[in-house]
Amino acid sequence: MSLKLSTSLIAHVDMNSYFASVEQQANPTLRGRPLGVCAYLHKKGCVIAASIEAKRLGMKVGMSVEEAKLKVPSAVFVQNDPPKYRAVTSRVFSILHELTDCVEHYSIDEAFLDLTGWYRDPAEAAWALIRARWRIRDEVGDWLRCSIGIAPTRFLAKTASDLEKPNGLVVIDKDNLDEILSKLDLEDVCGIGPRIRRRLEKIGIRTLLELKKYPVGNLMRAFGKNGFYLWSKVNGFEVENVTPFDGAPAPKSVGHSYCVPDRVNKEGKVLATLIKLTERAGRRMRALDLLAGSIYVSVGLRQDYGFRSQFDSVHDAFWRPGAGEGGTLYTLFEEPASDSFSLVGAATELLRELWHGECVNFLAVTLTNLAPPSGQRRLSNVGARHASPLPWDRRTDRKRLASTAADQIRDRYGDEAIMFGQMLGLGDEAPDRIGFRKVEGVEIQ
Amino acid sequence: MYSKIAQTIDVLVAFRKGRVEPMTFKWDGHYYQVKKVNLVHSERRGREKVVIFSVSDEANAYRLAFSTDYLTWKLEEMASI
Ligand SMILES: [Mg+2]
Repeated sequence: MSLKLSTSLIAHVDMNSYFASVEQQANPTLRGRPLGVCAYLHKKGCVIAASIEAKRLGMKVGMSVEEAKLKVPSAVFVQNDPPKYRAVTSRVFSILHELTDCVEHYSIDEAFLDLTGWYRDPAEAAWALIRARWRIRDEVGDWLRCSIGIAPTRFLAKTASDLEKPNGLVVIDKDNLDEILSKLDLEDVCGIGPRIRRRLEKIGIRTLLELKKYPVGNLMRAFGKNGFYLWSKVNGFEVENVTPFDGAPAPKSVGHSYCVPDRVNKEGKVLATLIKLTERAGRRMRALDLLAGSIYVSVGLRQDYGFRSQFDSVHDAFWRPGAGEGGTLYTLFEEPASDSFSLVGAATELLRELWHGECVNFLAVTLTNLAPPSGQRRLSNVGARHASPLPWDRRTDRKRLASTAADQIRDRYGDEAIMFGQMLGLGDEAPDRIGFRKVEGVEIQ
Repeated sequence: MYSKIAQTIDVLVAFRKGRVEPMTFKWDGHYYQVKKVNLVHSERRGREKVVIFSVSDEANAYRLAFSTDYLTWKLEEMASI
């Protein structure tokens, strides 16, 4: 294999304690104080962001307001205000767009920049990014902080920006790669959770350095393609490119997540909540005229908080499978799907595997491998011995027509006008809220 | 943290440096001098677009809302230390 360390110049910019910092920006009386931004101002409401001060005192994303108050009695709480965050993200990203033509809006508070060819070396890139950070402070808000990572790959750039919070700037290159890997835990790599760790340990890999030096062939025999990806990541080979924002973002995934209150558990509405999340995600995907190649379901089980302290956002916990108790599973659709029936059916199956009646504190549904419809109908029965009189799969078509009709009803009469039977009586669970992966509605000037 | 007010107010505004800045507002018979505009963003409420100015003086933070449809100002919320 003739792989060489990537020669790209990639930066990852991550706004620190984002929602909380924006609230402190808007209201100076909150600055310097432990602050929790929550889904609702109710004792069972879920903390979705904690200020830097609050984190220092032990507040964690995913706690209920009640738990957070107990942990940090001096904390103040405000309800989240998505339009504020979108407005600030628009301005921050607009500044980043002046650095390069290739900026990926990775989430509401994170962006990847491909700086290859725009700056000579990491030092020059670092200067440009520091100037951008000054501009964010001067032009957007003086209380906003961001961590910057610069490296030859996306994975290493994100790893770098994670190392120093708040307001850090870390460069990873071939000279310090090993040193930095030696300071990290196996599970700090996206894609390694407790389960993969156990399997890695079984073949004698206990550290990221051991993973880096492991013969890739053996790794692939044990882990398949994923083994190659993991090995490439720690070796500084690029396996994923920065996807530029081109004004009309085609999202890489559409999803919904929800911090599940106790009430839902008590009333036995976990499945109903999952269906609602799936319906919401499906509807958004259909509105974008896309089909999903796969569906992910994540379940967080209540025990500890299910979130790890060094990550400051729900999506971090979500995108690191197995970060808490519970887990993530996915299904690949045989054929890209968008109708409610296929999506809800698959989500329900996954939930059945992940959950056996425990108390749930987090649910997420993500539709990925999104693609526009190819316009071709599957000739499912051609060549089959008992060929159907119809040349295409009629069942697929029917499902699609039924969910399109349901969407039209919802457009006119609201989201709850028509729903799956299991969702009945769900009330206001899982209302539409901002998600960290949602970058829709963010406009670039 | 915030207390809801939701009352119509009188506002003096400056257009400068390519921006709109509320300078002074009168609420409940008192005048308040805006010391700093901390954040400006907009919200859609149905069809109506509202621009929110998060401002502060020495003592408090205020949420001023300007309706671009009705051209009216409201003091929506106030927060004190
Ligand atoms: Mg962040």
